[in-house]
Amino acid sequence: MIKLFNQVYNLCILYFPEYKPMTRLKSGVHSLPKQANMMCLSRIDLSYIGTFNFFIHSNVFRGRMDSSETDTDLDLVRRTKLGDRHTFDMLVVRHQRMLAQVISRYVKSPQQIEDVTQEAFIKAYRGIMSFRGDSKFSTWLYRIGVNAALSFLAAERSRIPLYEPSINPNTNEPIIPQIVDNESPERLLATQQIGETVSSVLEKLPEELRTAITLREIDGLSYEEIANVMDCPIGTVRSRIFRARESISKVLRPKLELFRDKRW
Amino acid sequence: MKEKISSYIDSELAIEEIDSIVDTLRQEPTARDDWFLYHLTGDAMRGQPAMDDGFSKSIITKLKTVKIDPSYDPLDESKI
Repeated sequence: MIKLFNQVYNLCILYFPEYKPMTRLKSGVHSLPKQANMMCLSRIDLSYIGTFNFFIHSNVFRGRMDSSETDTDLDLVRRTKLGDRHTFDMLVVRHQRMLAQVISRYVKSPQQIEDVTQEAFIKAYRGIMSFRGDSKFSTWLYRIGVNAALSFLAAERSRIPLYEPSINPNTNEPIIPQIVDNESPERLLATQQIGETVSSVLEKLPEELRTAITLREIDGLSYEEIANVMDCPIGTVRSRIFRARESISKVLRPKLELFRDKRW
Repeated sequence: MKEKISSYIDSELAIEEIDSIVDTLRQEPTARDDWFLYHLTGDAMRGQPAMDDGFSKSIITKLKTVKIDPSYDPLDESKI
């Protein structure tokens, strides 16, 4: 559905460049003008018409795809800039896993990933005034993370001597080192068990809760879009997502105690 | 309160309610636990690596020694 939306969205941007639907309005009436709708319908492949109409009526053109976390992130950044350091702590909790995942594409050792992630957050906090909101906060943070990872790798390269394989004295052949899995057992266990727990609880949830939380967390839809998809009021969506999170949290909470004080 | 935390995570909380929820998150450890668990749930659904709260706590502890530097741009630094 997201792919189809992107196709329709790109077509609309192509045909209506003057229309800039990138700012989400909670209760606004940001939709394409009727004549634009008609023009689109005449130009877009017929197979898209149903989907296009759905998106037009569901106000997806308010730029939902670009704002999944923008409002809350920007609010927390604004508060951090005003001197409330604790709000940056909330950003750390919010982005730590995604940032670590980005960094893990460059740095393999769990301890090094942790160090570089920490360094990236410290740089971001120290330089928070330089974030002007030109991009999403997450994008800015991940750029800092990638740069920190690349700097780390460059420093590592300058420290490590060129690789020279050891020679087996019996066969006089080079010894090929075994590939080491750098994932720590604790981290793998935690990831696996938490993932399994979440999946297990999700499966047992009433369908309306499971659908609501999936549309939010996996598909990134706004509450209003979910309300349109599920044909229910926004308040019901809000309640369903909360109840799904609470159900999962109740099961996760005691399991997390097992991992407390362990490295991830 | 928990439902408001959930909504704030999704950028769906009414503006007039944000100040009070941020105050709650700042002051109440149980609210911060909810903040952590709700984010963990979403990250787990997206298949991101599990990290316990010890990791974020270690970062937060480090951050206490760091000061905001208005002249510092972490992205400019990387160009040097």
